[in-house]
Amino acid sequence: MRIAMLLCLIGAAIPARAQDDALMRAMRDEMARSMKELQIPNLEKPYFIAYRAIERENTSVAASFGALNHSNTGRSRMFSAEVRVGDYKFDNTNFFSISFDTGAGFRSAFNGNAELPLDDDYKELRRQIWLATDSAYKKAVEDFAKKRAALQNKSHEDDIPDFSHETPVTTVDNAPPVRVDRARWEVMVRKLSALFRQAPEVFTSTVTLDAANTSTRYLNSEGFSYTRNHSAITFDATAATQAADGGPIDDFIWLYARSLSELPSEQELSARVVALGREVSELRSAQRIENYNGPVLFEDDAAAQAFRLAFVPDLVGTRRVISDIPNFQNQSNQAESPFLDKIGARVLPVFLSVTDNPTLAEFNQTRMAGFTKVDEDGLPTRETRLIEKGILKTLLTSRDRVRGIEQSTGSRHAGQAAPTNIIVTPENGLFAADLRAKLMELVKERNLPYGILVRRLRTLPAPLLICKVFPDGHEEAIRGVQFVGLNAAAFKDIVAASKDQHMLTVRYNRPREAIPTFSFGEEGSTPVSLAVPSLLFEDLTIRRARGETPNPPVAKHPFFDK
Amino acid sequence: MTRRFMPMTALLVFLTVSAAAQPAASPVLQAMKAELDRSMEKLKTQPVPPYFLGYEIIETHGFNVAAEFGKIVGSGESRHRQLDIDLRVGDYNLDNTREIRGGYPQMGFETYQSVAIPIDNDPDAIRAVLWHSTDDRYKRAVEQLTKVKTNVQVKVAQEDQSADFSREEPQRYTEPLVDIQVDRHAWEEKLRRYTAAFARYTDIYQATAFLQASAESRWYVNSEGTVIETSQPAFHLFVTAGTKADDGMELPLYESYFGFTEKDLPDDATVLKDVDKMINNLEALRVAPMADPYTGPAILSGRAAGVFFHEIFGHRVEGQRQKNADDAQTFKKKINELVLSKDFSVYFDPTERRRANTDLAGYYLYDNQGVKARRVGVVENGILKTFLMSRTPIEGVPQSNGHGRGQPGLKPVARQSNLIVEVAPSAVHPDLKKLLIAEIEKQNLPYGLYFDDIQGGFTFTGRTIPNAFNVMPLMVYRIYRDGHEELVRGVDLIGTPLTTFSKIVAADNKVAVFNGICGAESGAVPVSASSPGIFVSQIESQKKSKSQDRIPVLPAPFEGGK
Repeated sequence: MRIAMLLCLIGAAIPARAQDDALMRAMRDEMARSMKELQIPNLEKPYFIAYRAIERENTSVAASFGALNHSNTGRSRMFSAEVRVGDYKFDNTNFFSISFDTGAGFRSAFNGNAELPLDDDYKELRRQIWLATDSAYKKAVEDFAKKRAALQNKSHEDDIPDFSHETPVTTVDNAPPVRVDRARWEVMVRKLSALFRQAPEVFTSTVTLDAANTSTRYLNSEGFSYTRNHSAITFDATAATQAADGGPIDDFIWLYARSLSELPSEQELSARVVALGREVSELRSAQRIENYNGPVLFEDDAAAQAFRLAFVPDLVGTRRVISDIPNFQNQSNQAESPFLDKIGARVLPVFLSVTDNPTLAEFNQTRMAGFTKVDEDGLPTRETRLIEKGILKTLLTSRDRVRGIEQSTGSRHAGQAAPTNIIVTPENGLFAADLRAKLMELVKERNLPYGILVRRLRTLPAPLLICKVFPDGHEEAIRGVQFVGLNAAAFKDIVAASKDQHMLTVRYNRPREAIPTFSFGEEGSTPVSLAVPSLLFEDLTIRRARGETPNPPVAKHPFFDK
Repeated sequence: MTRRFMPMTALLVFLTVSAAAQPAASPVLQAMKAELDRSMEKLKTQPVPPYFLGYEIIETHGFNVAAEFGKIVGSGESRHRQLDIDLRVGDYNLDNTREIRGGYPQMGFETYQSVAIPIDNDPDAIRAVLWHSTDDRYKRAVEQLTKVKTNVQVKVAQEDQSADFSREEPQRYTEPLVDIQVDRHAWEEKLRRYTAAFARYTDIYQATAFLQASAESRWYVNSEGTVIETSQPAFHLFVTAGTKADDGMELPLYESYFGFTEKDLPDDATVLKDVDKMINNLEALRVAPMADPYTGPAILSGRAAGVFFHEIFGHRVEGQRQKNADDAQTFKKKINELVLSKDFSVYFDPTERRRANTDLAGYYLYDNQGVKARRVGVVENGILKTFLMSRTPIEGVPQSNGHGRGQPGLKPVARQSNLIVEVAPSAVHPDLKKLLIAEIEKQNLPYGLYFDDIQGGFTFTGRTIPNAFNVMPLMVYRIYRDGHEELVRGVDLIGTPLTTFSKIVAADNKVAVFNGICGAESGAVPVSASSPGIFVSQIESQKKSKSQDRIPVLPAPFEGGK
């Protein structure tokens, strides 16, 4: 067994490993027994069981204004069981129901989730796995009956199977754990957060460093299995202030690294924190405008942010959910990807192509956060060509089937289909200066006094910083605006893109979700790296952001009130 | 422990104590005082200045260890500080905190607004957070006051014309800060031992022991001149275990232990003996017959009676309930009336540290509003004398009596402390069982009930739902005419408070203490209840609602006791 040997060799570096033999054994034994014997008389047997055990070691340190806010470590081992009854065509999943069991107690509330002992002990691990499987099974048979009943007297439009058939594999995806010197990190976050003592216009700020070593063991009844040990370090700095008119100005830095060596040096982090404070302060004196209709150029980071916020969520395949709750239909229909009906149609200009590629560890000299060998269903990851020359080819899917797509793209992350590394490739892209010239050409054609450059964007619809750019080349900063109608459909009318791609790594939160998923141990978000060129839109609408804002503070910041 | 001194001496004591214990003269307190003075000064110039400002910072240095079935599931240490701000605009009579009638009901979590404060003693960083949070609270207070003033004019005159905030003497008190160190490894070992015996059983589905040890330091300052610094360690140990009857009924049992020092917790032999008792009780409960609905006499053990008084009496004498327009105000008009048998007295004494050889968890010297704690005789010889009061006055009770309590982040309201039931010698009977048997013979009933252990319960004090209580007994026995006892399961003790109180007729001399954590609108606060066993001539019980989940489908995957 080469895989087993490899597992042991790499395992030597990870202390948690020695225990995993008992854990994997307990999982295997209980799964075998459950597949064979778990059945309530006259009800369905499971046709599929998956177990996932996630062990996590966390370290978190945070400071503000030079003083420590917290410094914590923690360790947990969570377990979840997925049980399917019925068959691949029609099973208990993709169904939403609420049940109130008044006296429900020890297990049923957790529906297949359990906290496993940190101490290694075959018997006690197995006790928890047994009880978690039992509660997942009971919920599965109950949901299955309810789902059948809900469809009994209704015409059912789509007959999409529930679960895809895949070929079993065993995967090992191991990276060495991060060992954090917490005392050193405490000193570092104190120092970095103290930099805001030189930023009198920043009202509140924080600096946080988190590290997590996660070890996942997965096993399913079809023969899939994987072990995955990975580490993540995140650096987070926030700064907030208000303009003289009260308008809130918040910005942040979020960095993701797989190892300590990938993290920028303290000196570089200092420079970025200082820049964050400076930029937030500068925004206070930016102008306001009433509205604008015309060409808009998203440069660098702002282009990548706009793409991931407005476009990427639609690249994920989700389906409508069946429910026995009246009036759920509406919410359920919204859960379906709007792009499902656009496969084969043009969704971007012909000069843009998009792939999701989790197999890339590095791209454009940048470490890619979405790099992984295996997804949460145990499928080996692969490149998916999503859009070729503007035409939508497919969507990212997990094994939960969506209309028109038969196979999983190996994209289950954070509990459902999600992107990993998104590469947007321009054909005949322009140099930055030429793209800017193109913007000014459009401005001239439209007879406008100025064009708009988007510089910083964190959320939609309100960008943090945009600039008026005049024919003579000078720029004026503007804040407090929002886009009207900047959605995925608007990207079809992009008129030009830059040659160079900007690299961005962000935390990707689950988009539309009809069923609130709840599973122990899994993260609610997944890191995504993007390579996106600057993007020129021919026509967008921007208006002044309206709404009530609180006045700036009455008293000055005590540290600067001297 | 109670220290009383004149204001002049108090100042002297304050200086000496803090100088001796803390050469740095409590930097947290200094930062709070400085920012409080500056805030009041700066906000004075505003059109609606605050008339009161209070800051409370609570530091919790906690150690948590948890074990399940003999194995560790979690072990950690944490230190954090939380800030609470009480900022009031208007005046003592009418301010921003007045209830808006006809508005949304105030739920605790909506008003949750605890702010994290740096754990380093860095005055600049602490003041930066105080400043920004104060400003935020100030703006909200001004908005709220406008709403309050309109509401007062729009709605009918309030039944209760009392002021919004009581006037209290400023307090000055500091004691040396104490910290604790807990040997987590030793505790991991202990908790493994405490829960190991449960692991032999295949039908005990949940068995946990956890230690919550903490040193809590509180700093409080307000604009009336109160300055308080207190520090108190607390050690809570809980053991919980549960089984399921064949019909699905969940059967949990709890043990809790409390002490101010680690040494005050029971030794291993005591806990292990209790664990054995729990196991025997669980196994007996599992096969015990279901109780039928019952009306008749009952005995409550001291521990059960303590919980019973806490639930059905204590929550109804919390002052602010007599003011809330939606509350049933059971006792509002009953001051100086007989509410219990004249042989019974009930008082609350947060200054009492120990009773019946047990530390009392509801001990404190100053409440969360900086008011000095004191003994409050709520019922004296059966006659209702007063209510538990925070600084929210009610008609006829204009002052606080030191019971304004809340967990960090929630607005303090009148809450219980150490509830103590005292019985005049004339009502003490050495053998309540004899009384019970005499009573069932008189009422011609086959048996009476003996409540040995009560888990807690819930009580409705609102107007829109029946003003009833429901306490959840864990161990209940039928006592037959011939004196033999039979364990039953599935009993809920129900009733309406006034009727039930009038039926309490006698007590024994076995005082028991129940230490626990009470949850209500201002969050979780430690409390205790001490009472002798009591005899009630008539109670009512109903069938407990139960889980519809059956016992696990498959047998345990290992050999074990049943």
